[in-house]
Amino acid sequence: MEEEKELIDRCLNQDSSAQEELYHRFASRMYGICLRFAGETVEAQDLLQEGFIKTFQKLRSYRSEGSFEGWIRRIFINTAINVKRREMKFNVNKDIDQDHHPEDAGADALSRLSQQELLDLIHQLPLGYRTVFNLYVIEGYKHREIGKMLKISENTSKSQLSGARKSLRMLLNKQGYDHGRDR
Amino acid sequence: MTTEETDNGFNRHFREVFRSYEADPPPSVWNSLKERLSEQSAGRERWFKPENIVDWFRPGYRLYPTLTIVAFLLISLFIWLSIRHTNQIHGSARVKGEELCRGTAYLFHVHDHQKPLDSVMFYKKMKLDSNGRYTFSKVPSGTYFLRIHVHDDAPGFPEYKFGYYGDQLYWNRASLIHTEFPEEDYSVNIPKLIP
Repeated sequence: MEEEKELIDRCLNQDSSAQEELYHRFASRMYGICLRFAGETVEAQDLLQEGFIKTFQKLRSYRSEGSFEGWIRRIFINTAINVKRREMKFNVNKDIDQDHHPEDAGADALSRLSQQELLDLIHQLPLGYRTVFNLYVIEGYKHREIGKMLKISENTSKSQLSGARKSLRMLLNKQGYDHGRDR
Repeated sequence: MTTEETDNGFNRHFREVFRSYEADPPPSVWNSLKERLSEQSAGRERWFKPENIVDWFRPGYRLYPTLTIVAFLLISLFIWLSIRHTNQIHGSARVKGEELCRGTAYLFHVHDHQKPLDSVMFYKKMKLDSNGRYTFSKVPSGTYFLRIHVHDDAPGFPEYKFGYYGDQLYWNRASLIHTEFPEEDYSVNIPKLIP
């Protein structure tokens, strides 16, 4: 904790070795987030750079309340959202509950896929679906919070999540990982 | 398996796989980030050095902050100048209840409220119109004496020669005009000279 505070203070004094240390401490975890939110690797690398620029710019506003990693994580998520905001289109699905298909591929099918294969599946989702899926399923935000972050209604967020799940199941089915074969 | 269970399992699996997902970015990311950070740091240093003030006005170099500051100063100056001269002092002069059409209004600025008689300075004068009215426009905020002179060809002269706002003959008894507490009208009834 003390060590982290000292590192932050050094970064605030524009110490380049401290900036490098902070980067290397969090780069791989933050790159993981960027890879999930971005559609492709180059885009994720740009996001990573942008996120760290923002982190260093906002470092003075860090109040040591909560974990530092959680604080950085929020900056990266907000950066990812802001960069892609203009490209996001949220087509509301007709019925949120219509697309539950228990007979489709489920959790069992997913367990047979590698991390890279799952990431490829996420990358195939449209931007709006992908963003809401990342925020809700992986980051653990509520639909109300996602609505505020993306400036959409709570129902639109639910509908995007539903659409994302449906698309993922369809992609799994297409790849032969359907529920039936799992059993 | 129910829908809810499927969804929960689905979510849980993704969360477990990706919540602590890490990947090593290529070294090129740090290299270009390092360059950007040092550029920013250098820019910040240059910005605060007074000897580099000329750089601020170079096209594309810190132009926006510079222009913003210049625009802010200009707007502030404009507002200050506008507010500074918004006061108006107007009224009429009468002799024996009749409008004084031949006379002059003198405005004196009082610089020290505590010693008005020791700090008074002439500010402006103007002739009364045919209805005995005067208007001093764009008067700077402050405290003033108003004196009306009766012309020697005006009716009532020489019994009625001059008078101050407050209908007084001498300025040590005159009322002061404070622009911060404006009144509708600053009219004067010229008092008769005491023989």
